[in-house]
Amino acid sequence: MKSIVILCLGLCLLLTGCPSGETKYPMPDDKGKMVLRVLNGAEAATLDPIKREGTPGTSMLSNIFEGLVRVNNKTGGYLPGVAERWEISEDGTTYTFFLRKDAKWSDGKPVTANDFLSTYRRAVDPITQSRNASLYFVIKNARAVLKNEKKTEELGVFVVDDYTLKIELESPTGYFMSLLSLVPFYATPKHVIDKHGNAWTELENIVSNGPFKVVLRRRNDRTEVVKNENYWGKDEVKLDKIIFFTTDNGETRLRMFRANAADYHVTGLASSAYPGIKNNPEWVMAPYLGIYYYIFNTKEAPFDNAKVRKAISMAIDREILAEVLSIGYIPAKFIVPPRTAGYKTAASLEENVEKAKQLLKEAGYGEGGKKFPTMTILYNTNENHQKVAIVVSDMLKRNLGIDVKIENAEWKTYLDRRRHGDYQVARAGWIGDYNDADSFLELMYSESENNDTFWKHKKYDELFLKSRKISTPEKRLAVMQEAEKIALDEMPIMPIYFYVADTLVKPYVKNFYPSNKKDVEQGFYDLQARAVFRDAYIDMEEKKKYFGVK
Amino acid sequence: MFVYFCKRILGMIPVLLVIITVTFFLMRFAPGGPFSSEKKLSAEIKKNLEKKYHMDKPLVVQYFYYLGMILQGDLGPSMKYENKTVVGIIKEKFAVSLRIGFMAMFIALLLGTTIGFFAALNQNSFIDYTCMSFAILGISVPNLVLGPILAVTFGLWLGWLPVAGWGELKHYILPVITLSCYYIAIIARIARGSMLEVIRQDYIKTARSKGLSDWTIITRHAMKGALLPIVSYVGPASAFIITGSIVVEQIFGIPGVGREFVMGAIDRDYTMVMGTVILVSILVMTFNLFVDIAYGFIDPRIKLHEEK
Repeated sequence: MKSIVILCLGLCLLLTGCPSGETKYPMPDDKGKMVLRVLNGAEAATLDPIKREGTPGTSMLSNIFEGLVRVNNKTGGYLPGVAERWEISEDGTTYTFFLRKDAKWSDGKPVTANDFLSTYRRAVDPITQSRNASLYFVIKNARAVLKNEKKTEELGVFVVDDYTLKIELESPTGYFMSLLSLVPFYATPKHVIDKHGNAWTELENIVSNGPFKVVLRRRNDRTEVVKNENYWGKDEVKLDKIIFFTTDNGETRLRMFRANAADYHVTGLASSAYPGIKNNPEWVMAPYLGIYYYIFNTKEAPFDNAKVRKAISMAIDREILAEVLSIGYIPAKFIVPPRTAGYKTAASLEENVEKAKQLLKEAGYGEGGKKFPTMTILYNTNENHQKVAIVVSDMLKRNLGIDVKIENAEWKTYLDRRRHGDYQVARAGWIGDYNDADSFLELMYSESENNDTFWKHKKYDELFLKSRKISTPEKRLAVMQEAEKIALDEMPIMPIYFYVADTLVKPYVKNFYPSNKKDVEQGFYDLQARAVFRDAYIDMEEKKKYFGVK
Repeated sequence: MFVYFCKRILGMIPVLLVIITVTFFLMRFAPGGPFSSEKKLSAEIKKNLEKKYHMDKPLVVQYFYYLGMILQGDLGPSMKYENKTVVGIIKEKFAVSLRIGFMAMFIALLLGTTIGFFAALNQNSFIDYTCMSFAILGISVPNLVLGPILAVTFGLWLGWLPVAGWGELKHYILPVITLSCYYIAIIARIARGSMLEVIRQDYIKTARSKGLSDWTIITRHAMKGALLPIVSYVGPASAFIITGSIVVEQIFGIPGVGREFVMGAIDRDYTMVMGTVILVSILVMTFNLFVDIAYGFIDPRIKLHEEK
């Protein structure tokens, strides 16, 4: 009965409006400590950097561990991490890193070149079953080691002395520094792994070398990390503690943020956040290294014909699509996202309904030809994907008279159908693994495991492989641009829009990029949206004011 | 009594076997697998992962291997979370769901029966209609709607309670209310119906004609009989309520076992799904057994053992 009364009360309040004001939420009592509360999405499957998966794992691990280099969130360059300085050989295939002597694990033991050697060997060892192993393929012999064709000792990573590490690459890799700044290339503690094996990531065993160390891990609830007093740069670390809440429900995350139960909301806002969000000063939207696109099954008619694929792409108005979603997505007229490091696109796709009709006619459909068969768009069940599919199907019907069926499937079923070519046109999304055009151009390479279009183009493959062997950035850029142009001309995948990374940040969180709209305007953000709180702090006075505490 | 108990326990085994078999094969026939992801795995890695979880063997072999494991009390490792066994995860999460579920059921029983009996004893009055209108509301408003309404009202607008989270006593209030509302309503309806039936029985008339007070008639004679249908509903319902609710757990960010169940199915974490299905089945069967035993105590007409 009581709960029913309460329920009625709630309903009445819903209808009549409610009191407002910031002060109704008590400020958490952190006993004078600087505590940052982060709404971090789904649970991370593991705390082993080399096995990390997904954004939530990345944001935790970026704060717990450290690699040879760090990414400069403000300017995008690389800062010294465990390595104080580094040298790159003239041919671009050998990297030598000089490690700082004051880098320590959270148990006080020194971080040495041996830790990196064993980490990298472990990462490519098939026994480890790391899902990130393919990122290492640029290192000499990594692929062969993974395939059991060579021993792990033959991997191109060498310890010169305790504080000097040499890495040999298969070919000059323009984006190797970008790779090294990724979580799977961070150091893991050899002495702990030798002792505990796979269980080294358990709370009672884990030892880390980053600005923070893990002190509490309650699965599906929270992970707490505190300042690591053994970290070499501890003087720059201001936060005493970070609480990463595991909240896989977007609406719950939003409510927690609005009720001031958290200071930072990682990228991935629930759709109910968007109405009116543009005026919210706590909403920070930055460009992101990701693209939303449709793939064509190029094995089967009618999509085995490039003219058909192009016609479909030309008949779509991407500006309207981006507007329909109203999230601030950028219409994509090319494949490699804007601002990707060292890349500038040289081609652009065309939107032209008349030309689309002409192309379709040339392919033998439409007036005077056969009727275009009903096509099906497959997407994984999701509100946004559904919206896009509906708008696209409407545009195709109106502009080209094509009947489109849209079909949703549960995530794993959808993946399975894509892999087996059991689709005509399917929705797809790709977030670059590393900040380089290579990560996107690989999607169309015929040998790529992630090419579900079955498209095979000799010239494209040649150019793609060539780009991986060139050390001069300008020459490499030209080759990659040419490859992208071919892909846009043949259209095995149809770009729709570029993702953005939007987060919610309380105004009192400082020295973290991007923490407000101004940072984004000035270009101070990480294209990979890694939430690194190493240098962040909380303006306690401003926080008190925010909560209305005198 | 003891013989009856043993018989029932033995009877559970074939039922459980059927459930395990059906779930095992249904799960495996669903498209995709635990290791399929947007970014494809290298063939070598996939092979090793499959080997680790014995998925490289024929399905029937895997099935018998799994049965063998269960006999040893092992539900296998989770395929998603490294180093975690299904038994470990269930132990950790079940404690949370059990606490919330128990509280919700306790409140539901207390309020549900009170409202129901109260309505029955004032049949066709204003009180009766009000109680039953709220009961209909309670049944028809799903958790999915009620949870967010409560969270927005008491968490966001009034700021009295946390919108989500886990760890302190105040975190229990909203989820327990959300979870119990439906059960309060159902129990109230059952209680009202059964009480109405009981008070028309001859033995109540007899008691009345003997000049017993209303209070004595209700508490000593009518209540016992009216409780029977409630007990038979509450038994299996308890099994479901304490194994957690994905909706309530997600809305309020509670680390319970219901989330593991549903997320396990989405992730195709085969062992996790099997583990939770087995848990729910055992609980449902056990609670049914409890109900039958409880019947013997409440209803003198039912005997669980043969008279000597």
